[in-house]
Amino acid sequence: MAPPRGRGGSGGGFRGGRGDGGGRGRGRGGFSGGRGGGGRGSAMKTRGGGGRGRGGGRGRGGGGMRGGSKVVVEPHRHEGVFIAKGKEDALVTKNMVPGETVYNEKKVSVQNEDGTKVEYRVWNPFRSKLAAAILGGVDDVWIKPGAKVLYLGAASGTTVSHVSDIVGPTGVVYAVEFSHRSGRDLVNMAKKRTNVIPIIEDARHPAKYRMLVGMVDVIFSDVAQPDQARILALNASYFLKAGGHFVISIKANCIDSTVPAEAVFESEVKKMVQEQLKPSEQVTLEPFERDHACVVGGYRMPKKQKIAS
Amino acid sequence: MSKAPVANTVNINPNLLSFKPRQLLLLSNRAPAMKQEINNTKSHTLKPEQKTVLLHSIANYLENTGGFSKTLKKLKSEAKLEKEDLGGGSLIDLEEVFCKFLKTRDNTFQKFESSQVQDIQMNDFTKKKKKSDTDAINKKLGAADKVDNYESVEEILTSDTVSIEVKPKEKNKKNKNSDSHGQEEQYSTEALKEPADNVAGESPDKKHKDKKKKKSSLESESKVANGGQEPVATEEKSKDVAPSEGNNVAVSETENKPKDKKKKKNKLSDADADSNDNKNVKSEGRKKRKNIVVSENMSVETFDEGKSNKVDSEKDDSKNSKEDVNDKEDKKSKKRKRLPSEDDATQPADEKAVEDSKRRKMDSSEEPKENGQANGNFEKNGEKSSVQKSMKKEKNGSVETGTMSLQPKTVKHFQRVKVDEVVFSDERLKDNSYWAKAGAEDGYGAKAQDILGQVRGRDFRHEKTKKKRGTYRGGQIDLQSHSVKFNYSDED
Repeated sequence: MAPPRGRGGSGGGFRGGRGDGGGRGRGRGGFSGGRGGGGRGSAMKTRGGGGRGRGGGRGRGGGGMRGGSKVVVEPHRHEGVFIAKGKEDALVTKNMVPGETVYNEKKVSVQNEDGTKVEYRVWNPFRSKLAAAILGGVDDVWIKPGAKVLYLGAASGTTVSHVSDIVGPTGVVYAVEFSHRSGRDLVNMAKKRTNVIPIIEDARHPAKYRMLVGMVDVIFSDVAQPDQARILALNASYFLKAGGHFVISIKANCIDSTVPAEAVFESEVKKMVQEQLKPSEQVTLEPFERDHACVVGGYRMPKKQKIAS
Repeated sequence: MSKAPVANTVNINPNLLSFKPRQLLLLSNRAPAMKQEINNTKSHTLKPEQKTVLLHSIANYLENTGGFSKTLKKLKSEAKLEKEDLGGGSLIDLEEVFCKFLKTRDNTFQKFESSQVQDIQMNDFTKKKKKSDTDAINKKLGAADKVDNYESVEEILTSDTVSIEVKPKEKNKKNKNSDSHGQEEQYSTEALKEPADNVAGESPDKKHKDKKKKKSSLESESKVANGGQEPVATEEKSKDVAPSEGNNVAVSETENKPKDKKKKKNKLSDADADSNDNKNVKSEGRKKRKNIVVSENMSVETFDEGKSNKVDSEKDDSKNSKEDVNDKEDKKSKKRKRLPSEDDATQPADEKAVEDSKRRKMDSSEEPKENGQANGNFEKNGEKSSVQKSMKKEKNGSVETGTMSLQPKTVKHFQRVKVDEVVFSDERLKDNSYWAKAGAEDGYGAKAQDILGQVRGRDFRHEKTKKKRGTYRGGQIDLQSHSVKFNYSDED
C-alpha cells in the first residue's frame, strides 16, 4: 500500500474537505482521511501526489518510534494491550491491519527474533476512554483476544479500532453509533477491519439491530446520555451473556451538571445495581477526561453468587 | 347691513381732526376693510382719529391696571402706538366710563344684547385669522371698544368672552388629544358644558338666555377651531405632551371602566380648573407659571412613583425593561414639556397630569401596575383596543408577578440526582480527582494533571487538544490496579 504521503495527495482532495468540516463527533479529524486512501492508492500515484500533504506528523508516522529511539514492547496486564517502553512509555495495541492508521496515530514497528515485523499503534488516552481507564488502573477490562464486544457509542471508531486490535481476528466488535456523520468514518474504518461490524442505529432501540448482533461477552458503553444506565441494561438484556461483563464510561455533566460528579457516579452505580448489572469497580478517568468515571461490572453472575453462598 | 359711518363721525371733536399724522392716515387706509367687517352690523363707527384715542385709552388702562405687560406690549406693537402719542389729556378713563355705563346698563341691556352676540360671532370669525391668543384678545378688546355707546360694557363683555374663549381653546386641545386617542370624548364634551355653567355662576348679572346662546356659539366655535386655525401649533404640542397624556388617558380609561365615579371626579376637577381659569383670566400669565411649577412638581412626583413602582412590583425582566423605556419616555416628555409649557397648549395636559397624580395618590393598591401597564400600553398606541389589551395584559402580568413572587420561594431546579439521597459506599468514591487516586504521584497521568488541572472551560479544551496530538510523554506506565472495588456480595 502506498504510504500515507501518496494517499494524502488525493485523499486531501476528496476527504480533506470533510475533515475540515469538523463534523466529527469528537474532533478526530484526519482519521478517516488516513483510511480512505487505501482503495485509491494507484489513482493517486498517477496524479503525482500533488496538493496538500498533511505535514510533518504524517511523514514521521512511518518511522513511528519516538524519534527513532529504541523501543521495547511489553505486554500489559490486560491481554492484547501492550506497553511500548522507550524513553517514555506508551500504551499500544497490535495493529490488525499493518501499515494503516485510523486517526493519524503513531505506529511502532518491532522486529521479532525470527525476523517477522510486528506493528503496533499508539493508543492515546486523551482520545480513548478505554485507554484512559486502563492507564487509570482498572482491574480488568474483560476485553481480550477472541472476545465478542458490543460497543455502544462508537463515534468515529478510534477506540473501536483499538478494541478490534485487542480482540483480534477471532473476536468481533459490534460498533453501534447513531450519528451518520461519525458513522460514515466508522463504516470506512470497518472496511479495513473484518472483525468490526458497524451498526448505525440508536442504542436505545436494540431490537432494531438484534438480527446483526449475537451474544457478546462484554458490552462497552460510551453513550454519554442521561439514561445511559438504562440503555446499557437494555442492551445487556438483549445481547450480554449471563456472567458477561460491562464497561461503562460515565460523564457526570451529561447526567446532571448541577451536582458534584461523585454523587452522579454513585447514583449511576445504584441504578446499575437495580438493573442486575453488578458493578465491581470504579476508576476515575482524570486527568485524561474531566468529571468522568469508568465503572466495570458483571451481568447475572451466577457462579460467583454460588461461590459466595 | 347698513353702512352709515359718516353720520356718526360728525360728533367728533374738531381738534382731533385738525391734525392728522401720516401714520394714522396710512392706518386708516389699511384698516377700513377690517373695520367695516367688524362694525357693519352696527350703525356706529369710529374715525381713525377716534380709534387712536380709543387704543391709547385702552393701552393706558392696561398700563394702569398692571399685570398685562405682555398684552400691552402686543397692543402697542400691533397698533403702532408710541409713547409720544399718549397725550394724557385726551384719553378717556375706561374705568370711569365703565362705572357709568353699569348704572345705565340695566335699562339698555335688552337693546344691545342681540348686537352683542353678533359681535362675538364676528370676533370669532376674525379670530380664526389670527394665531396667538393674546393677539386675539387684543383685537377683540380693540374691536369691542370701537363701539361708541357701550364701550365699557362691551369691554366687560368681551373680556368675559375672552375668558370663555380661552377656555374652550384649552378644551379643544384636550379634545384633540383625546380625539387622537379615541377616548375621553364624552367626558370632555360634558366638561365643556360645565365651564359654561361656571361662567354663569360668575357673572350673575346676565340672563340665562344670553348664556345659552353663548354656549351654543362656544361649542360651535370650538368645533370650528378644531379644524381651523390652531392645529399647527397645538398638534405639535400635543405630540410633545402625548406620552404623559397617553398615560393619563389609559389610567382614566381603566378607571372609567369599573366605575363612573372617577369620571365624574375627572369632570369635577376639570371644572374646578376651568373655574380657576375664569377667575384668573386677568392674571393669566402668572397663573400659567404657577401651573407650570405645580405640574413640574407633580411630574417629578409621578416619576418618582414610577421608580418606586419598579422597585416595589417584582416583574419580569421584559416588563422591567418596558418600564424603563416608559420611564425614559416620560423623562423625555417631561423635558419637552418643560420647554413648551409656557404655551397654552401644554397647560391642560399639565393640569391633567396633576389631577392624575392626585388620583394615583388616592388609589393606593392598584396604582403601580396600572402605571406601568398604562405606560407600556401607550407605546403601542393609545387606542381603546390597546387599552383593553393592556387590561388583559395587566391581568396576565399580575398573574405572572404572582407566580414570579412565588417562584423564588419554591425554587426547584430540575435535578436528576438528589445529592441528599446519595450514600457513598466507599470513602474513596467521594473524591473523583486524580490526586485522590492511588499511585497518582508518579503515575502516567501526573504531568497531564499538572497542566489540565490548572485550566477550565475553553482553556481546558485547548490543552486537551494539544494532548490529543499524541505528543504526550507521561513517563512510566505501572501495571497496578488503582480502581475502587465494589463489594455487593452481601446484598445479592
